[in-house]
Amino acid sequence: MLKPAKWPVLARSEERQLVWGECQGSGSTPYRVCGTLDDLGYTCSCPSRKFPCKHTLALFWFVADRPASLTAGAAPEWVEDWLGRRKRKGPTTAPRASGPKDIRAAVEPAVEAEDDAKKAAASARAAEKRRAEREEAILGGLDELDRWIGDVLGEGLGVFPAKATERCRRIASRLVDAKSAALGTRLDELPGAMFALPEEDRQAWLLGELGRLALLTRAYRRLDTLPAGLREDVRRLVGWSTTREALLDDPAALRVDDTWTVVGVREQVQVDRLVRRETWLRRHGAGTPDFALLLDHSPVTARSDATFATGEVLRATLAFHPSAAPLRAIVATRDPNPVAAGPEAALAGGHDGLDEAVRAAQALVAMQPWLDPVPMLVGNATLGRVASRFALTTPDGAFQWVVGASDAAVYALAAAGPATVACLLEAGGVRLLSAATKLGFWEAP
Amino acid sequence: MTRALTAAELGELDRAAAMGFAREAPELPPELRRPGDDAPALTLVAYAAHQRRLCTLPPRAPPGIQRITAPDDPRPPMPEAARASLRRAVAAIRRQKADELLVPIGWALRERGWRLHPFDTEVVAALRAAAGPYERWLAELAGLDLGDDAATADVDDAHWTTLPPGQRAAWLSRRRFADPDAARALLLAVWPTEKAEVRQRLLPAMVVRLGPADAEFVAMLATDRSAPVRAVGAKLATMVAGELDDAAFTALLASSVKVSRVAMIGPKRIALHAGVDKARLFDAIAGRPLTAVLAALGVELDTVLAGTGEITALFPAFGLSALRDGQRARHEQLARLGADAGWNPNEGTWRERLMTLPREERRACLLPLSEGPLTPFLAAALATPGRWFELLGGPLTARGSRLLRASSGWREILGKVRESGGDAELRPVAAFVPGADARAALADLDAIGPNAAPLVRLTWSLLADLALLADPEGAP
Repeated sequence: MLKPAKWPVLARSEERQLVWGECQGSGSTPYRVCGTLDDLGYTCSCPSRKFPCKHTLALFWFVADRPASLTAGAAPEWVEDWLGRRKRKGPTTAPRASGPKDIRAAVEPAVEAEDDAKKAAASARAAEKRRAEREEAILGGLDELDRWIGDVLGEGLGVFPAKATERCRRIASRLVDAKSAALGTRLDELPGAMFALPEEDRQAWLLGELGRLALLTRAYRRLDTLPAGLREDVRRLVGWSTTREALLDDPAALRVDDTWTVVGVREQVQVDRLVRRETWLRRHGAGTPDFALLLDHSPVTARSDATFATGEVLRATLAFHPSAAPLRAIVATRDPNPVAAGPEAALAGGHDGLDEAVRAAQALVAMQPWLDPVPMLVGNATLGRVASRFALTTPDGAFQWVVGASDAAVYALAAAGPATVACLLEAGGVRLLSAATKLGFWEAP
Repeated sequence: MTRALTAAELGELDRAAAMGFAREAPELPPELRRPGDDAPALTLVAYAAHQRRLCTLPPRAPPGIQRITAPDDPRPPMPEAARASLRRAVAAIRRQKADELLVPIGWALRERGWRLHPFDTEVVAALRAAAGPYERWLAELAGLDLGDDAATADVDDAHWTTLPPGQRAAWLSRRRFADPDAARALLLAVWPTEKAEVRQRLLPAMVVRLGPADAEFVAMLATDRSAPVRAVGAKLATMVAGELDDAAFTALLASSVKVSRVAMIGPKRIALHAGVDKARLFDAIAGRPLTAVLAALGVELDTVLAGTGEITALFPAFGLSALRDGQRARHEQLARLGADAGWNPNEGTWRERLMTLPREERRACLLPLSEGPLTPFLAAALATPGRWFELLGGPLTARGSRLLRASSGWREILGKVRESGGDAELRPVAAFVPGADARAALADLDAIGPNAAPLVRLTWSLLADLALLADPEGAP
């Protein structure tokens, strides 16, 4: 990091107490780092979640240890942009002198308002510029992804598993550099998802996943031609996000006020060391969407305590992210009073058999091709065993392998006889969440 | 997409993907092409992935699928009213790693004859984990093929092999106690056809009334294919080697015990010769029926009871010997006499000998001893609670528990709880309190303070609730 060769640009402005540099990382374009020497403010364009990142630390190290490495010069536009946007620590304006008020002060607000309008316009322009830059970076990343998929298919899927982790890590880094973090995470997790499947199923799944990625790159390039909901899905899958505040402020966002049962909670540690917590809700009332997914991320070391427990029943208004098949949501408002209904109430009216449930899931996939996993409610389900694997079966003769369930959990549910099961349809089979049985509400441990 | 891909096109794609598009690139049908698509092969892959997800229905269940059903369990489920408090108590105990408190809970559930709710898998897992040092009866509680001993009481010699392995071991253990030779013959008959895992589970039953007659069977275990079976066999072999044949036994008695008369026609007296190996003698006497011991000595029981001095240390051995003749009252009498004379129940092989008896038999022998006016047994229990709970095979009776709580040892423990604010001393002995006496034990804690020993309080409270649910008439 301290090799001057890695820093094509390393400069300072003495009179403005500014330093900046460009550091060549793993991405195609160098990271831009700048900082102020008077109050030690800083920024860096790298995706690191550490603050300050290693590039910032290296920049200040050069200042302290090798000041001669920095050339004097005028701050480039991107540094000026940052300076314009940043809020300084401490008082931003000098304290007003006390004393008798001057009548001329009355005109100052007008001057300030004018300044604010200018700043807002400049800020909007800067935001638009950043957005355009990001769009360009994303499109570049998607081109790279297409080439990567082409390379993988060109070599043949048989040889891919041996070097899956390394290859996926590399393209994931490129996608993160290209501001497509969500897509990068998906690629990073591809080997884990593949190796979790039985060996005989891996190649078919990999071909499917590569196909879904190729479909996504094509969809993104044709965003303008997609319906509004699907357009938002595609943008979200690539990496654009909507803040909670923005969703709550969006008058067009779908809101559903109903009673909900938490039918399952899953936690997974992602490869980026963030804990992904999925809370699956099932609606008590009729209508669509009948399921909702609350998604939270938190660092491994800082578990959020704002979680729901399986079996919890709540009365709440959920705001759904715009989507062709709305599923992901946030709790907009919640009634603090306890709800009289039991958790089983949400599990009434499941599909009569796996065939019907899977068809309903496919109807959602038809609207949003990347929906995965898909929640389902399967009625009259029983559990069976084939060799050492468990399976969910229904009277229509259909079956699905059960994934991720312990022996104890499966035998406990089986002891209750036929049940209405809330589950997730995913690669390799169904993942059991909870069930309404004659012995009461069952939840996956 | 203007049309669906055909099965042949999809098959061709799969083959090409496996071999590599570099060798054989699949063709995107012309009607699916879009202008400007510079990677039509990838477009084909995208179409295929979407089509397959949309059109693939679940497979049909294979013929070999085995439906999982609940095992038949005639026992009533535990009352719903107690489930929540049971889960809460178990979770709190597990959180604070106080597994010893799970033991009385498991015992109480078993005594009530209730079946755990199958969804309470965390309770089952906790009880299973806690069962480790506390015999098989607690492990059985947590198993799916569990059934209490009473459920197998009517099973005869012709049908014992139809029981699940856990119940078979319990049945065999009782059969050994009633008729060791017949039980060995039954085991020997199925031995060659049983799996190693089952053989290993059945073998500990042979400990009951193990004797020289079992020597041949035990010797056979040394060549068993299974290493765990050979290991159990080695332990049994050591125990068999300690048993003496009739002649050796008579010789040992003759060289160790002096029988004399006060006068020509006076009563006989017995005493030990100097330098006798008392531990060996204790074991030898305990391993024979009392009638055989008395015959070998040539004395009546009254002569033994009138003994003084060092011979009194062997009274508990005579007591165990009486048990072999089915004389529990004699065992109690002899054990008391031994305790009166200063014998420490924690010394010698008395405990180990008792452990070879079925649990019901042990409880029948020991509960009266823990209720008498003299309580050296309770003192021993307080000194090594884990071992004594295992020996006793459950908590004390209500009366025994009251005696325990009135003892100086118990007051000492409560004093430590008061001083330290913790309950480390109380947890191991808390298991001796049965549900019927749990409310009174809670009152003892109240006297210390409302927040004293919260986990023990939670446990006793649950035990009291379970007792009340089982017997509402027993409410105070």
